[in-house]
Amino acid sequence: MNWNELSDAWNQTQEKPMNLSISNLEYRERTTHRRVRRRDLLETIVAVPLAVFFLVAGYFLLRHGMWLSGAAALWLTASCIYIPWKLRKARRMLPALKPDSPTLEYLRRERDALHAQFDLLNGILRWYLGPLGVGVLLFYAGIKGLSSDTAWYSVAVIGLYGLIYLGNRATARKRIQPLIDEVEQHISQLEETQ
Amino acid sequence: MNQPALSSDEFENLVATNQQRIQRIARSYAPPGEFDDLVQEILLQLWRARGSFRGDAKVDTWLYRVTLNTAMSFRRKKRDPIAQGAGKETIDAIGNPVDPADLLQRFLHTLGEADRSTMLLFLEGLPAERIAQVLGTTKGAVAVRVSRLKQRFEDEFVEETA
Repeated sequence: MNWNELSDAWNQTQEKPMNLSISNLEYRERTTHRRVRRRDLLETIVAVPLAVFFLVAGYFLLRHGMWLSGAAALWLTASCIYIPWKLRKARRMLPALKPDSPTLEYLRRERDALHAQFDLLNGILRWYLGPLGVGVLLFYAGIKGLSSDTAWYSVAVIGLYGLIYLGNRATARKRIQPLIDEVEQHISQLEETQ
Repeated sequence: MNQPALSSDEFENLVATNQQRIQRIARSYAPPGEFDDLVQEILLQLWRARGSFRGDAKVDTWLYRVTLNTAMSFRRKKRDPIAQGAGKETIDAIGNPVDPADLLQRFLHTLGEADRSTMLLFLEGLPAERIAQVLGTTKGAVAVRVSRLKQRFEDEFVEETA
């Protein structure tokens, strides 16, 4: 077979008639939107009661002179608002993938989206674990004082948060970074002969 | 709110007319056992992008962009080992090396992403200018790539079947 016969070989491939259902496409489009809305709603449902709880707790703790726990409770209130806000902001900042754009442009957007995802996972200490961890530890320490309970609790919290931190970093390194490398390679291949 | 540029009926006609093209490309990108899922994903992305289709644009440019971009992303998400360049055994296992269709699949599996997408569009019969529009590159770049692909095919595969 020579080069000129390749197209014939390609076009001789006959696939079965395709199963197209417009109602199924409409349903899948609707469920995608619904899933996003449900996820945002769930984050709010979890965050708002927690924020209210810590706000009220902070108020009463401060009124009773428990300054450390009171301040930590207010810090946790702010964290409960900040974390879902940060997540939504990060999602809004993600470049929308437009599959009808030229491949090179599509790949650049995909790369940017992957970088944003990588940064979010890699920086989880800064925007999620850090604020929550500091608040939780100070809240507990303010109530229990400096005791062996507080020490054990701190070890457990730091251990758990450490595992979450390492897990997220590993996901960024092992799953997202290879995808970024692959997309980068594809982009440079396409740009190579420009 | 803008009306979608394609009505449901027009969309159905478009897919019916181009179903072989869509499936041929999906077949080239789908990991084993994922072909139907990839076709459905392409259809969903075409459906969602129908609002951006403009009648003055070439329909095949629009269709190939959505199909190719979706297929490439799909395969990346599924982490196909062939895409990682570790598919020697898989390549060797593709059918009869003198059967034209199998030989073509063997050739396609040896190609990097950019070469593969260019080659698929070339096989679909698109001229260099249209391939460049789909990929977002230039006509000259496509011509150079196709020329390299031809050379590579002749060096590595023509002797094999001679």
